[in-house]
This record gives sequence, structure tokens and C-alpha cells, in this order.
Amino acid sequence: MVGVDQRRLTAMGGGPLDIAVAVQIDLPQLMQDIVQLLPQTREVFVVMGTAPLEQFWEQEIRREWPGHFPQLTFHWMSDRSLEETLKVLSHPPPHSAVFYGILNRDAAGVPHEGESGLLAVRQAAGAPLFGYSMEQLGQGVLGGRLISMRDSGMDAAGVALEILQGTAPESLKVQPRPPSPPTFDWRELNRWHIPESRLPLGSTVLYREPSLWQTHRGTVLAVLTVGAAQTALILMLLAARRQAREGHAAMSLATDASGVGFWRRETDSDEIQASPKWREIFGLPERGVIRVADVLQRIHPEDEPRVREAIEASAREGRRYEFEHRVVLPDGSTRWVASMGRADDQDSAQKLRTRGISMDISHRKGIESQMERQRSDMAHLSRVATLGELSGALAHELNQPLGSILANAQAARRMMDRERFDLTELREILEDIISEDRRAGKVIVRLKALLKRGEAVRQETNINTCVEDVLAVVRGDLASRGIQVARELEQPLREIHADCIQIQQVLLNLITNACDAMESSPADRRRLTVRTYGEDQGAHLEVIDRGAGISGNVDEVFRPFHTTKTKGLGLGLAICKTIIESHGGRLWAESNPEGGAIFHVTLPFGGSGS
Amino acid sequence: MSAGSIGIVDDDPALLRALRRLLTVEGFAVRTFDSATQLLAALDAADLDCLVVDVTMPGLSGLELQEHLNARDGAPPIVFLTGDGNIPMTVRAIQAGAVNFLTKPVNDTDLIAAVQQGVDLAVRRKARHEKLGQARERLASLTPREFEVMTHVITGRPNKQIAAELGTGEQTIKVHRMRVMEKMGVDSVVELARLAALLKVKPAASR
Repeated sequence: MVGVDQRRLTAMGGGPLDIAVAVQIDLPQLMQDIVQLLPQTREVFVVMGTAPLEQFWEQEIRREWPGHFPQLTFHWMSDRSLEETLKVLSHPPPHSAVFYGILNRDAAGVPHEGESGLLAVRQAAGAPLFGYSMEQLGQGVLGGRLISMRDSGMDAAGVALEILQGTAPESLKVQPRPPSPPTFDWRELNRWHIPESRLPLGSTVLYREPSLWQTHRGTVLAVLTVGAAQTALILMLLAARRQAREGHAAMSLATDASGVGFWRRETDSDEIQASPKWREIFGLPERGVIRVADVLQRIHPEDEPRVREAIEASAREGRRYEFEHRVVLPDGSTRWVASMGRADDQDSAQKLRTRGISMDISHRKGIESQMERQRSDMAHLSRVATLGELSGALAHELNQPLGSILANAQAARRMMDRERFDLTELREILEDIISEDRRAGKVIVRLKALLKRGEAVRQETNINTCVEDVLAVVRGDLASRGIQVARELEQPLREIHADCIQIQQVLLNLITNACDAMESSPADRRRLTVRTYGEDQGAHLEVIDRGAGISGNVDEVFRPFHTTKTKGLGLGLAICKTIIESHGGRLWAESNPEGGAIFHVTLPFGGSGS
Repeated sequence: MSAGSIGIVDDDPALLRALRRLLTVEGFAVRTFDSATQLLAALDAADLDCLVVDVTMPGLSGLELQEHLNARDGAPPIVFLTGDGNIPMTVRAIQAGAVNFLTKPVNDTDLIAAVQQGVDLAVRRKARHEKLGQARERLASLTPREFEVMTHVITGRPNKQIAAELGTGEQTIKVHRMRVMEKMGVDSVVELARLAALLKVKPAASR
């Protein structure tokens, strides 16, 4: 027996007179080599026939490969006829490889002579082809640690010779032949664009095709001898230039694709080399020389000093600069640009070069300013209330200073009536009058800044929509302040009869307060929760924060001009309360047992009368 | 000598100063408190004749203070001040015994008048209280027999009848009657009866 793998021997058993010249096939190694050559491989098609030997091998492969290579999906072609197999293999899924084992008889019972099966598969396959024997190499198989059937044959012949020469068979020990060192077909490597760097150490590459040099050596030599130096030089320069241009073009391509412009300048030079995109961003002509002055001219006069300074600083300190600035285009319009650059001392003559990139960020800026406008609109809305709604709350605040002014003046007058001219006391009285007057003045000023007649429109409203709208507006702000928002909105929720804009004013106020309260909280406590749910009478909304909490009386926060902040009016919550109460609802606060505060709002459902 | 001892309670320090000046000029002795709690703590020792209290204060409100005071004996009368008066609040305050309810900015004449009213009321009450105390003492100084006679005398029955009812001589009754009048410090039966009513002494039932 020749060329039988050891395993098969075990399976077959054998009598004392049988000598096997076995070969050793390392299945995992075979597949490992395939994966090394083609790391992207995901699908492997195993072509094997239905004859007993072929089936034996398939069983062995099934036992070894899937376990060792869980990342691969194996497709067993043994249940298909060759015709069907070819169909499948002609349009394999991406990242496939084909292993051709033995196909002497296919599933349809059709016999295939010699390596006719292999040739057919080679023709049809749209994926790299691998085999197991050296004899398959050269017929379209890529290669690997293949076994040489011929060598086995030689072994067998040697053994036979021994036997013929009288050596007792049982005394002949034949070492199983290991696979050959890795060998590959150059043509197939090329076909599948497999770089030789991926080949295992000690690989042999056969079937190389001669290079241009090899085939046209004569011509090249002839060219070189004629004006050799000159030609060589020209060739070299051309090559270098092409490389540079390719490099530059590659860069241009990359930057253009991303909307980024790119420029460069030698320090001694006044000229700037810039990509087409960069010229476009700065409104400079597509062609022609650009000087530094031309660029500076384009920068918005307000930004120019800042830009100039940044560039000079970077040149001095050798660090990178980056900033956003406006560019004034020839037609007078402006656009926002982000620029970044640095000094780069990579010149062979040790000259300093600077280079940088610029990007048009008008779009982003436009959106930013839009959002800012939206936000300030909402914030403004939150301070609006009608005069009538505020009167009760305000009366108290104004009457205090007015009251003391009056009492002071009256006291002074009575003192004079009784001829009690205590100058110290009179001076104190006047000082109090002045400061109290100022206090009243401040109240009026704040009030004026706030008041505006608003048109209240009440209709059936889903409070969840109001919540979502407000959260959408503040999302960016919350994100930049590192505050997480959790929504627990009951869906569906019966509608309330309300003016959504006013409800949003209240919400915005509550949310802003919650965020301010968490200003100095550690990251894991920067969490805002908004919750809605239905109750018997109406909708209930909670705004929960984990911030500093409410010190003192929880009802006090609703008093006008109550504020713990250094800026701000302190009228917000008083107005909110008025708004909610005018809707027939309630607004109150409680301390959050987990720290922070919970603000509750209830609003009656629509149709229940308000 | 002051026109009365006043306590002002308001959380606004500027107003507190101004009101104090105003009342001091008119001869009142003024003490100021920035919260109801502060007042309650000092009340017993303070001996105030009248209080001027702001209705809307953080913590214990003016009306709540009134409740506390009503629960005590001999609490001074209150003049309420408010920057935001609504009718129900006013009614409640007056019903609970406030002297007056004034809106800010307060008119000086109105304030002084109200305070004076309060002081007068306080003085009257004090006098009444004293009188009652005195009367109680006097009552306690009566002997049991004298007391018994008194309960009959205040019914208006003649001495003869009383003597018959008590099983003693008319002269004895006359003597007891005189002693009672003297001890109780009254000149007539009518006065005695009034005093007795004040002291809640039950007149003797007819037989």
C-alpha cells in the first residue's frame, strides 16, 4: 500500500505482510496556511467525492477543521454532483476559499478521471483554490505544505526493492513521509493578489513569470547605453515627481473628499501652495500664485488680529495652532472656517516649512446659532407672564420698600413737629429712604424687563409632546453640561387642556433649575429625570434632580424674588406657579429622599372643566 | 413714661427700622423682632401692650402667631400689616381678635391710632385682670358662713327671708351682710351681684 495516510492504516488494519508506506497529512496546518494567505476568509467549500476513501477523508476533515477554525463556515460539496458544485463555486460569497480533495466519483455517481475534476473546478471557481498534493500544484491550486505522491511512490518502490532483495517484510520499518515544505504557484498568487510577504517562512514559489527586465533585457540595456546617465537621471526625476504628485494628489483627493483644504509654505517664501479646495474655501482663484497677504486679506477684520497672533505664536513656539475664524469672500459674504496648522521642519535644507488645513464650518455654525436662538427664545418665554397674574405676588415685593420709605418720611416729619432735631437720626432716616427707593426701583426694572402681553391659547394637549419638545431644545445644552436625561413618560396619556407654550415655559424653568442645582454635583449624580403619569383627575409630571436640594422651607422657593443664585431674577418659580394654578393645576416641591429635589406639577385632563 | 410698650414683628429689616422710628417719635417704647418665633420666645419676659405683626412672613405666619397667642393667657392685642390683603384673610384675623388689619404702605396716622387702640385695650384688660385677681382674693377671705350669706344676698331677698332660710336671726344676717360688703369692697347689692357674677359665684336657689 502506498500513499495511504497513517490514519487510514489504523482504520483499515493490516496483516503482518502488509507494509504501508504512509504519508502524514497535517490537516490543521493545511487550513492554517490557507488562513494565513487569505486572512479574510470566512467560507470554505470542501470538494470531496463519494468513494469510500474520499468519504473517509471528508470525515477526517469534518473532525478536524470546524473545531480548529470556528470563525470559518464549511460547505460540504460531497452531496452534489460536479455540475452542481461548479455552479455553486462559480459565484461564491465574498471571502471564500475552495479546498479540492479527491473527486473520483461525485454524488451523481459520475466518475471523473485523474484530475479532470480539478481542472473543471479551477475553470469555474471564483475563489482561490487549494489542494493537498504536489501533483495538484501547477493545475490551479495555490499551494501549501503539500504531500508528494511521487515521493511516496519512490518510497514504495524502494521498499518493494528491499522485499525483492530478500529483506523480511516485517523487519522493514518505513517512516511516514511528512509533507513537503510550503510551495506555491506564483501565477495563482498573482491572480488572487496575495503578496509573497504572507507566505510562511521557507516557502518556495514556483512558476514565476519572467519580469520585464528578464524578457526585454536587451532593449533596456540598449537604451541605457545610449546617454545612460542622462536617461537614468531623467527616469529617476520622473519617478520622483510622479510619486510626489501622486502623494499630493492622494492628499488632495482625501482632503477634497472631506471638505478639507490643505496648504503649505516655505518659511522664507511669501507664496502659499494650496489645494483647490482650500482656494475655494478662502475664495481665492483656482490657479495662480497666492501670497500670504492675499490670505490675510480674506480673513474677517475682527478675527484678523487673533489669527495673526496665533500663527506668530505657533511659529515662535513651534506648536500647532487651531482656531475658528470668519472669511470674507469676494462677494462680501462671510463664512466660518476652522483652521489648523503648524511649523514643520522637514525640509532637507533644514528650512522651516509650515502647513495646515482649513475646513468650512459654516453649516455647523449656522446650526449652532440657530439652536442658540431657539434656546434664548425659550428662556425668554419662560420669563413672560401677564401683569394681572403677577399682581398679587408683586404687590408684596413693592410694598415693602414703599412702606419703609413712607414710614421713615412720616417719622421724620413728626420729629420735626415735636422739634426733635436729632441730626444723626435724621441722616439715618434719609439713608434708609434712599436705599429703599433703590430697592423698589430694581423691582420695577426687573419687572419691566419681563412683562409682555402674551396670547394664551389653550387646547387639548398631550403633555408628553410638550416634554419632548423642551427636551429637544435643551438636549445640546444638557449634553455639554454632562447631564444625563432619563424620561419615564406614560404612553398613552390622556390629554390636558392647556397652553402648550406656557407649559413649556414652566418645564424649561424647572429643567433649568434642576440643571443649575446639579452644577457642582459629581458625574454620577448629574441625572435629570422627567416623569409623567395619569391620575384620577389629571396628568402628573415630576422633574427630579440629584443636586444640592432645597434648604429651608420647600414652599419658600416659590416666593417672588427668592433666589439662591448670583444672577437671575428669582421670579421664575413664582410665575410658574401662577401659570399652573391658572390652568387649574398645582405646582409644589419636595426634597428628594435620595438627595436633590422633586418638583411636581398636576394639570387637569381636558373636558373636565378648568 | 411711655405711651405703651409695642412689639413689631416683620422679616423686612428696613421696614422694621422705619416703623420703630415712627412709633418711638410718638412716645411708644418699641421692641423689634424679625420673626414670630423670636417674639414667642421673648413674650413672657417682654410685657408688651400691643403687637404690630406682618401677616406674610416665612416660617410661622402672622395668622399662625395669632393662634398661638390666643391659646395663651394675657397675650397682647395685635395690629396686622399686610402687603397683600385679601378679604378672607382680613375677616379671619379680625374674628380671631385682631385690633385692626392695615395694608402696606401703611399710613402713619392709621398705624398710630390702631396701636393706641391696642394699648388702651391692653390697659383695660390688665385692669380687669387685676380687679378680678383682687376680687378673688377678697372672696377667699370670706368665712364659709359669710360666703353662704353672700349667695343669698345677691338674689335680692330681704334679710328676714334669708334669716328664715338659714335658720338664724335677722340681726345675725344683717351683721354678716355688712361684713361681706366690706370685705368685697362694694357699696350696693347690685355691685356685689356683678362681682359675684364675675367670680362665677352661684346665687342660692329658692327653697
